[in-house]
Amino acid sequence: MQYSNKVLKFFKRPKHSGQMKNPDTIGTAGSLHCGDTMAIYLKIAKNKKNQEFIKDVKYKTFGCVAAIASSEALARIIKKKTLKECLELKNNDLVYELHGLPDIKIHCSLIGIDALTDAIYLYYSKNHPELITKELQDKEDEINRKKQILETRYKE
Amino acid sequence: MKKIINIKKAKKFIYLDNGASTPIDPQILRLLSRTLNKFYANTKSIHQKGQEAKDLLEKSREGFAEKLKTSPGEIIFTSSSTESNNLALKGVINFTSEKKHLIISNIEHSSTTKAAKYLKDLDHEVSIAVADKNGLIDLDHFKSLIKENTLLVSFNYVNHELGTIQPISDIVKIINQERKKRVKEGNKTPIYLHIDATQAFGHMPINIKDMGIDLLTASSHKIYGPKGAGLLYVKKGVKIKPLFHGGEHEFGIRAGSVNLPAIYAFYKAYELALQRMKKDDQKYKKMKKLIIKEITKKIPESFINGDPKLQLNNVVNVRFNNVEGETLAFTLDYNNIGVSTGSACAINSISDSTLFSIGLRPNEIQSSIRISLGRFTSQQDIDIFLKILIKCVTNLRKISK
Repeated sequence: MQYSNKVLKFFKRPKHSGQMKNPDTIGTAGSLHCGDTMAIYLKIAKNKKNQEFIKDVKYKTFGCVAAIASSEALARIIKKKTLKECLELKNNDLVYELHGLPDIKIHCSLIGIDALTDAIYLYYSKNHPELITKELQDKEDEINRKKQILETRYKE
Repeated sequence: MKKIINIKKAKKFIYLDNGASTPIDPQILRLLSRTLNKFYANTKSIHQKGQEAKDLLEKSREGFAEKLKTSPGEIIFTSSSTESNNLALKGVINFTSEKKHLIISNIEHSSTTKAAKYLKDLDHEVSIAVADKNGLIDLDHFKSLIKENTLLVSFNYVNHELGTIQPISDIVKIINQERKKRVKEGNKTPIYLHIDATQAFGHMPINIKDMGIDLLTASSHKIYGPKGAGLLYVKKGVKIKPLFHGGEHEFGIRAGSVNLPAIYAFYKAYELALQRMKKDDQKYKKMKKLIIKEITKKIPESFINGDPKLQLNNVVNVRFNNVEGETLAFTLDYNNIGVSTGSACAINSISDSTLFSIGLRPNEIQSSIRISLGRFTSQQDIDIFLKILIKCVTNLRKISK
């Protein structure tokens, strides 16, 4: 498998991996392609403009080299970003940050975005339900659908 | 700074992927270089140099025939096991345009499964015999698949992922019963058995006469010979069509100037493998026992795939819960250790895997690695490997759980 040097660098030093004490929200996601799973832990604070932003991030990923490197790339990108900015991220932003991924590994970058979306959705539903748009609700439903399929797949 | 690999790595690279390809034996390398230098002519040329080359080619063929207990006219040299498997399947099934029936198993190498798929696309019928949880082909199921127009059965001798050894004599018995039945019924369709012995060659004694098979595939680069040489044994009387068309090499079954230096080196490598077989196997047996003991004792939630008693001694397939195989293989590589994973993380490569066929779940397949020992693996290599493996698994589990 040909990985970029950036992928290998992030994989070798996943400095944001691990668990967080008292996170403000936890998001989880799984990939239907390969069964990779990820949990993301976020600490959220308010900036001077009174916007909520990500103060700290940790993650736990069960997955291949691409999945771990994508998780690390995500953590580095979202730190200091506002929640609104985070919801606009696409998996292509991670692939770009990683200087590309092999074609069959592109799906590995999706779980990061899914887990982040899930975390923010759960945070909103607890604190600001009015901020949940229809788009966000649809995304969340899709993430949960995938998680359910994965759970039944592993029970079989 | 936090690192995934905060371990003292191996000083020199420890190669534990001999099932994928073996390093060339220094003895064979010297011989190969001499042969490349001296025997440059085409084996079909009429001058002295051509005759010299032809003599060496026939010496290799006769040598193989003697060691495998068959006759020289039944040995076809090819470039690889992939070519031999393709030649066996396509050459036999596609001999006439009549629709034929082929049986393979669900734990074959991709060169067999993909050749079978190609034949299926040409409207031939393909049936797939299933393997049990240890990777042994279910013989009752196989027997039930045989039809009156079954022309070819193709199974591997030793599975490439698990090292499981198939009971060839029982398979031959079933085929012989079918032959008797056909004689009684006046059914003139022959039934042939092709064995892909790539992983068994040089590791187990192979006596084609006693085995009673019709075709056999073997390759040079799995027995410390060079890449680019393989063979297909084709029993006299088996009708087979060439894949390539051109010069009349290899009895008209395989066109293309023969890769004489590699073929001669292949033969010499086989000779050497036979000499060392017993000693090497004893070494592997000891190492495998140690690896299994240490892994299962020192790494919680680790499991050996398949039953080791049914496997070749140089392969250990193992899985660690909550550790992804590719991730582990990469981490080991950073520590100068080379192993292989059954499959990359993509659903199609998971379902192509032998581990999937024997009923492992996707997450278990993804957590598996294959350790394959070789002639140049030392006891010290294994000690270092085990130490590093234990640390890698512990570190990776911190990321995943």
